[in-house]
Amino acid sequence: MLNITDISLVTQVAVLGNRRAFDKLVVKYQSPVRRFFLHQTGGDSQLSDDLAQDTFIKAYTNIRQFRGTAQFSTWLMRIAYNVFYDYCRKEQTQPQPDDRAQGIFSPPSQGGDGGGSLRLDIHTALAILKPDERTCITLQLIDGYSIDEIAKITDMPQGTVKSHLSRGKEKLANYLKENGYERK
Amino acid sequence: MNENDNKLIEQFFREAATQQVEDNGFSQRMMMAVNEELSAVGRKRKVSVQWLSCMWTVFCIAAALVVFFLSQGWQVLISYASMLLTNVEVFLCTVPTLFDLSQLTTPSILVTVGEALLAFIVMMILSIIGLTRWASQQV
Repeated sequence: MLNITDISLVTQVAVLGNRRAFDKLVVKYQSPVRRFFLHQTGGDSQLSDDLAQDTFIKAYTNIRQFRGTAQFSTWLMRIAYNVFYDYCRKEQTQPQPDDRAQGIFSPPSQGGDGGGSLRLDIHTALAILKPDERTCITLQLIDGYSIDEIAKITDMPQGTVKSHLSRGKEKLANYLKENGYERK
Repeated sequence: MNENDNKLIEQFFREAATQQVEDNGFSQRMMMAVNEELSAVGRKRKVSVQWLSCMWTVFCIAAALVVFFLSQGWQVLISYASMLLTNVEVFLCTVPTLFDLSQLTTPSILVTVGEALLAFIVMMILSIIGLTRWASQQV
């Protein structure tokens, strides 16, 4: 079901160029978008904020392309995913000593900005996944999107999303068991 | 993967799913960035409009020159110039008759001269008003 408030705000931005309406959308969605980037970048808050800013600017400049066939949040996350994908591609064209398979994910360190043991644990756990698996897992288990919505966001076939989720969950389950989370 | 594994993973991510990222001025910075982006787009659009306007002027001038040469426009100019010279010549030849007082007795000539004087006065008044306004705008 489409969110009427979002549609109303998007209409005000697209038709009237109302920046206050866009400000309301930013306030509403800044948390899920920044959280998505935090999980993709291993908790790099500066990079996450920069990517989130790019996402919202792209959303503002292309808001007339939003047709309302999907939720605004799904459309916004699709932009966020594309921004992240473009960033990874740009980074990978430059020579890096790190393992390419991990994308731009920087494994969390104990001395970093941390933000609590929970966040550290989640980022450590996510570090064992491949970028696509990580994206699918976070979109489903943290942001609560369905497989159909994840397929729309990432532009992957549903079967591919399911296999990424399955492999990712298997790796995570093994990781959690190995680290004693089962007993908590 | 069994049911317990699924529960374990869901439990692990449950708290992360409810975690909210504090705004901490992000929205404000975001709107400032949007405004800057719009200003940059506006500047680019202005430059492109000016460039288009310039190109359109050049195109019009080129098209006018082409039409002028294709339709042998200089012949029209020559004919107009010769006509103007003829009119000036006729005017100069007939000027002395305007000051012939004996012809002013004819009512039709009086009316013509009166109309010409009236038109001259009106033109002078309008010119003075126009010049005054222009001078006030300059100040």
